[in-house]
Amino acid sequence: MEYKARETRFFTFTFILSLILTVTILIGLSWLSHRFVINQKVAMQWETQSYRVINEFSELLSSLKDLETGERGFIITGDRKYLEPYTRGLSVVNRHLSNLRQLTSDNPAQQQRINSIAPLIKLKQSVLYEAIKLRSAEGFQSASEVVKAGLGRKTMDSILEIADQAIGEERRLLQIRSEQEGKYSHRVVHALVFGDIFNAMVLLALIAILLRENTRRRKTEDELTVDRRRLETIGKDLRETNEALEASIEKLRIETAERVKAVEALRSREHLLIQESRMAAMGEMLVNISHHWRQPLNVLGLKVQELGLTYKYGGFSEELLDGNVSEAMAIIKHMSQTISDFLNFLTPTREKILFSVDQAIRKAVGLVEENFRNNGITIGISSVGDPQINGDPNEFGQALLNLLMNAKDAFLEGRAAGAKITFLSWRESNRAVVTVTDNAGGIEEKILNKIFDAFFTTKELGKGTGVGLFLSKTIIEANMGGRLSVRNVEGGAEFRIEV
Amino acid sequence: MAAFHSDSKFSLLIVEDDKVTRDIMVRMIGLKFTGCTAYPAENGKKGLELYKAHTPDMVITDINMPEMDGIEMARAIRSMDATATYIVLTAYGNENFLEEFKKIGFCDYLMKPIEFNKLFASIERCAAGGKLQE
Repeated sequence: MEYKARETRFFTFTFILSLILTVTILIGLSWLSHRFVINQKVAMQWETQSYRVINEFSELLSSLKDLETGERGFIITGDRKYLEPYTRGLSVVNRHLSNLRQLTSDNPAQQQRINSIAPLIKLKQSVLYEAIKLRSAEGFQSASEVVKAGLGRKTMDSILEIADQAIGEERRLLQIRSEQEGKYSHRVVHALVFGDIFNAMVLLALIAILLRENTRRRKTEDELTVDRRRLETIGKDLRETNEALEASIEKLRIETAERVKAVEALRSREHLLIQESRMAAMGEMLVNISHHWRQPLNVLGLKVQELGLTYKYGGFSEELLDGNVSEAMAIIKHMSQTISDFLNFLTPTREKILFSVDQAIRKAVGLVEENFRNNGITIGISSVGDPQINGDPNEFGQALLNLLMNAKDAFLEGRAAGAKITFLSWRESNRAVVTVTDNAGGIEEKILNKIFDAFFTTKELGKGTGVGLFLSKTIIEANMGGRLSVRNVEGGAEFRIEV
Repeated sequence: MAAFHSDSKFSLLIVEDDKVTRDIMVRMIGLKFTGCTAYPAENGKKGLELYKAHTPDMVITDINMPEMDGIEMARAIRSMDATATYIVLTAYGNENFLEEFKKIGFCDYLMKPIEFNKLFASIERCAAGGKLQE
């Protein structure tokens, strides 16, 4: 854009300059032509004047010769009629002389010649007149004496000489003027020709510039047209793209809404499943608590009834009363402690402490042992080297409990006799390793890599939630930075914890 | 045989793994039924031995017990004595065992915790309608 502006400025400057130049040259040439015409006119006037001067002189001489001719004729013949040229010449001599004076008024040299020729003409006239007078009065002889005296002849010669000089002078002037005129015309013609040529060149240059500018403008216009078309195309493309984008956005919005709905549905399903799994865990805990409580509750009932029955049927004593009351209180305390144990276990401490893996296993097993025994499942625990873990022991216990529940479910499905779960723990290069092995028949190979997935379950609807093993995996790996894996061993499955 | 009385002579096998429960049961039944001879056993295996030794009139047994459970024992006794009379003590949640026990046949069942009034009534009823009546 800047370049074009500069170019336009340059063009305007050149154009105006050329115009000024052309007009100036034209004015100059016009002035020159005008001057030339005027000069020509003046020169012609001068020329005409010179010719007229020469002509007047010739006429003057001619009339003088007429005078002479008439005189001679009369003298010779004495006949008056031969005097006619004399009379005619006499009438015009003075007129020619006065004309010459007027014509050469600007030329002092010529004026002087005329002044000197005028008395000579008067003398000649008087000589002629004398001779005619003598012929008339005394006859031919007297008159021819006068002629023979030669005064007339001498005068005439002087007149002729001066006239020749004057004519020569005029001719010279004519020559000089003609030459000057020729030179001047030549210069003017040259000037005009060169001026015209120069002007033509300037005009040509101007035309060239105009053509170039025109081409440039047309090119610019073409470029602009192309640009405009391109812009229109781009605009159209942009509009189309925009429409497509809007359509995509609308589609995306719909899809997003659908996805949000799907996610919400999934979330509510997950929520439901988590709720269900929580209920299942609570149910499991209730079962465990009920197993823990059933025996002491029964004993408590018996102790209370014993007091009444001995009172009724005999055998009641203060010792029996005190003994049963204190035993009942001990049982109640034990039951209360059981609830506390479960509650403590269910509430993660959220703080990391160094704890014994063996103790954590025994605590977890202690909660469910009663329940498992009632289902015919025995649990074995053995530990080598007292491995320890830094973390939340309750959370670790939760992970173990989930593995225990999973094993119990596997036994209940299969109802295998001699069901046994074995805990082994040991230290392995700064890491604690725990294996939980059952003899419930193992896990199908094709689902082995799925059992830790959230909500994956092989149990029939309503029995398993598919959360237990997922939670164990989360606790061991995400929360404690360890690893939980599974493999099939002879007769069952082995879960391996490394922390 | 005449109507059953609290001093009627009869023998009883009590199979219960919990010692406290077992001891109290033996004592209370002895208080109520003065003519009763009770043989306590801590598991099915012991119970089976005592039954073989004394052939008691009635068997009161728990189901869940170590070594040999109540069902196994009852089945073994039934195979020897078709007239054996059982009163089954069961805890909530052991109904499926009860179903199995039904196949063997029992006189009555009681839910734990034990209520002695119910147990006494059950003993009287089963003694009156069972082998003792013959």
